[in-house]
Amino acid sequence: MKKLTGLFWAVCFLFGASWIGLVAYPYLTFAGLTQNKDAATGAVAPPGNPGTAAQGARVYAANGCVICHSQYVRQQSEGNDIARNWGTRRTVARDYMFDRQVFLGTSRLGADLTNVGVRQTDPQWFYRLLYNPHYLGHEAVMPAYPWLFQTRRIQGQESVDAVKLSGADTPPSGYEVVPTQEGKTLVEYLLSLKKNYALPEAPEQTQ
Amino acid sequence: MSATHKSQIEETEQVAGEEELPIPEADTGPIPVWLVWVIGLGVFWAGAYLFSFSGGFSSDVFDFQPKFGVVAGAQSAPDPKIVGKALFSANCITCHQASGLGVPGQYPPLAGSEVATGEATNHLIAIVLKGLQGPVTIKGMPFNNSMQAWEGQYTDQQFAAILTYVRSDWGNNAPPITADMVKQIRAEFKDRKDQWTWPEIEKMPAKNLTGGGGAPPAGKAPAPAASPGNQPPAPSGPPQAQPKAESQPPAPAASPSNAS
Amino acid sequence: MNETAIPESESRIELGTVKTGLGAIDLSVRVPVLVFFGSAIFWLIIGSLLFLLSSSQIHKPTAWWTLPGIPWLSYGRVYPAFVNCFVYGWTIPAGIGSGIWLLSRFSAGPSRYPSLPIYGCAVWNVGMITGIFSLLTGITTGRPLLEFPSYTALLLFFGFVLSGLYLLTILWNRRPGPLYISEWYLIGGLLWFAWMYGTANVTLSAPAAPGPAQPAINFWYIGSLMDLWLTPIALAAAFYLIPKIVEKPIYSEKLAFLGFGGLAIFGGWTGLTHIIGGPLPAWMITAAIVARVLMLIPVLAVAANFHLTMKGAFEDLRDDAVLRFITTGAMIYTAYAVEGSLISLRSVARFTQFTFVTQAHSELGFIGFFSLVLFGTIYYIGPRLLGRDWLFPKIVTTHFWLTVVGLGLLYFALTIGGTIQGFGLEDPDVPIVANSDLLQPFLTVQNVGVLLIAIGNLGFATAFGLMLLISTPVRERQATGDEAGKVPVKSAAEVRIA
Repeated sequence: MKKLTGLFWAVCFLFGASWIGLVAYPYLTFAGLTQNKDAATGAVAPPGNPGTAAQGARVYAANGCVICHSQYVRQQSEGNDIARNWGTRRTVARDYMFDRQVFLGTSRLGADLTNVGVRQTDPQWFYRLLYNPHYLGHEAVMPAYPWLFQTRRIQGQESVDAVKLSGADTPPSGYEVVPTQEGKTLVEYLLSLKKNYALPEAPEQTQ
Repeated sequence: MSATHKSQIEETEQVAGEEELPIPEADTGPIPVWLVWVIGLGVFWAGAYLFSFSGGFSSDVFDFQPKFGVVAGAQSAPDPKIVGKALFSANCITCHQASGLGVPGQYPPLAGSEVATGEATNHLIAIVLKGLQGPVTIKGMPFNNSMQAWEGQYTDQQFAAILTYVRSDWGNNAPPITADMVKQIRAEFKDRKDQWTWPEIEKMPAKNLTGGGGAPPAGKAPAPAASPGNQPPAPSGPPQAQPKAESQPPAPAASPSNAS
Repeated sequence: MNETAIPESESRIELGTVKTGLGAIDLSVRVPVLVFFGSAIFWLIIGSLLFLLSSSQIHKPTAWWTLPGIPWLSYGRVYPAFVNCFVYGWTIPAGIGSGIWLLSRFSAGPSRYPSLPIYGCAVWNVGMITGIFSLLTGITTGRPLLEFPSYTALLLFFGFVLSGLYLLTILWNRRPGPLYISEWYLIGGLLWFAWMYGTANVTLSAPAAPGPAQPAINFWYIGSLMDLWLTPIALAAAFYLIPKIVEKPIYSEKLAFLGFGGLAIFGGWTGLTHIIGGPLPAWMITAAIVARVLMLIPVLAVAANFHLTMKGAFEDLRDDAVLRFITTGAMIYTAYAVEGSLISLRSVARFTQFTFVTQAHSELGFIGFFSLVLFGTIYYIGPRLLGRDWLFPKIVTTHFWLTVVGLGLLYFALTIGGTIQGFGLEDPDVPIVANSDLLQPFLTVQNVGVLLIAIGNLGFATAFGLMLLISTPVRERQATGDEAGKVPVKSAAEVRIA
């Protein structure tokens, strides 16, 4: 390659091809996505995200949850995600159309969280796990997140939000452990993670 | 130039200049033959792989091995006749033929068929769900064969699409069938295990069913026009029911191979 | 060679008399290159310490020495901080510094805007400081390799643009003649990085791209970063230094062209192999797999080129530590690309996705290919810029072995452990937490590897600092016949090649 201009244009053109295919095209195509309306029932899918859940996404990002947890379900022929009950169908583009932050993730040191709101509906379960995951036994590599909680004196009655702890985690008598605002929004976000509606481009797959 | 600067240059040159050789050059060696082979094989493999597993380069196809082909526009409900035609072409044409004329003496026609286009939609749906065996007269022609039960193979929406298509092609012009109608009949005869016989069908009071929703998009739709390296004919049954589909009796309508 | 001082304005080079005036060019780029190298090494050390912390944390999250319970030192923040330190703090300034020196080899005269790169590096470092601080306090976007908040990204981009402009001025002042291979890679890399970094940050945050498009853009960026920034920068250095050291020309320009062209064609498409099975149209992922596999073509072209260039000179590896760094880096590059193509195939990805195999693979590329080549490059360039030697020539060899052995332990432990983890993930009867049990011994070995690498890097940083501050210039030592000096008297050439 002798000429600088030739090199420059070749480099631009070739990279531009991938830019068009992987940046411009998805940007424009997915900007035009609409919800699917089921003709029979009138239900729309996917449903929009509740506002507080979006705030929780920020806490999710801030604590690096995406480093160990993924949020997409692969189809049957590409992985055993469905057999693990992480979803009844694969996830497709429209599942993420209302997400401002998409946490696909590339590691599964922890479970996939696409449908964790379907598997666990009790906030207590999440609070227990986040406060100290090591009650799970084994050598769970998930770190504890005590800064999402605060230990405080019980005022009169125990709070509704108080985390039910056991063993070494139990707070001293007269004290309770409650989630902070951050902890609450994070758990609301996790509870909102459900993709159990039907979409025509992703048929249900069962074992 | 300052003395320091001068000595600095000299100092660098001392180090650099001693064994500093001319700028490297590139010689004119050839590309090794083995690499040319690698390139050839690589490009060949790449082309085959790219065109086989890209779902027609559609933005709606996420399955790299779609069994039924491209979903025609997830954003707008696809025409059930198009969906239906594709589904029909997967299995039904084996006996009833693409022309809808069947095979004289063997398989009844659907074009102009009183059963297919008649008002007794419950008969039509019942036959397609449970199958039919034994003597039957269609358009004055006698037939005596066995049509397998298809109820395990398709969803209500898919049946609705197929039947809507059948009722609209080859000169037929009968009102469409809806998924709700299929659901009704399926529920009505859910305990029946055997194929129908024609006398049983005749005895059934004819009902012109009315249904709620039309035939919405049926999971998978027509085969993609744009992929040259297309899949072999789709297997008998929706992808998710693979194991059950394969265990169905391989009636004449059963499709030869499995796309996966 | 004439001994009198050469006025800067007359330091022009004619073809064939490159030696003349090279000193003036070196002098003009000395400060910029050393400033970038110094920054790079600083962030390398910070990154190495964070690497050590994060790998201990994933191994034993409750042990006291992994500092549990401190939010700004939790794994979820330390791990991305370490990755960003390595990528944005180490690789980019090192690449720019190396690029400045390499491009100036082809220059007609000294560079003319010496303060431009200083500003560039300063802005870059301010960006890095705000970025790492933000990550540790939880201000992050959560996107892999794009975690820095927008103000940091803006600073980094601005710093890069300033540095890039400086490089363009060097390029503009080049001697007449055809572009050399290294220059293709450097020009490509500079343009590509500015484009990919600018696009990724703008489309992902201002305003945010539609949700489903974000992974496409994000992983396009990640693939491009590795293939179209890090790889070109390292290859530019290798294509210059290997023929220089073994004193033979590069075997084939055609092969080099094939290597560069293949990279340019396929490099931008490979990123989506990180999310095989993801919620993107099948064609994008298939295209990425195809591109990743076809990347073997330019990689093999480059490998063949280096191999055939070095034919007959392999015994130099025993004596020349710089050559050892660069050649090992180039060989690991081939292994890295082969593994990359393999784990991109859907049938293999089924088992290697989401496991430590992919992390080990990335680390093989960053440490085994890019870092080894850049270490060699810095070891080569440093003395030439300063007219001084490394204080302890043995440091070069020791650093090499610490890094290679450490990487070997790290890579094999994580790859084997990750494969077992992958089979565990695929088996629906194995609960996720049980995988952590399986991984324990492998994570122990990984930690040993990381420790060795960190020690090697600390030694490297110490040597660099000492050379800057303490080493006596070669000329002075030879003039005074200083035998009591820290190195035995040898010719500059011998001493430098450890």
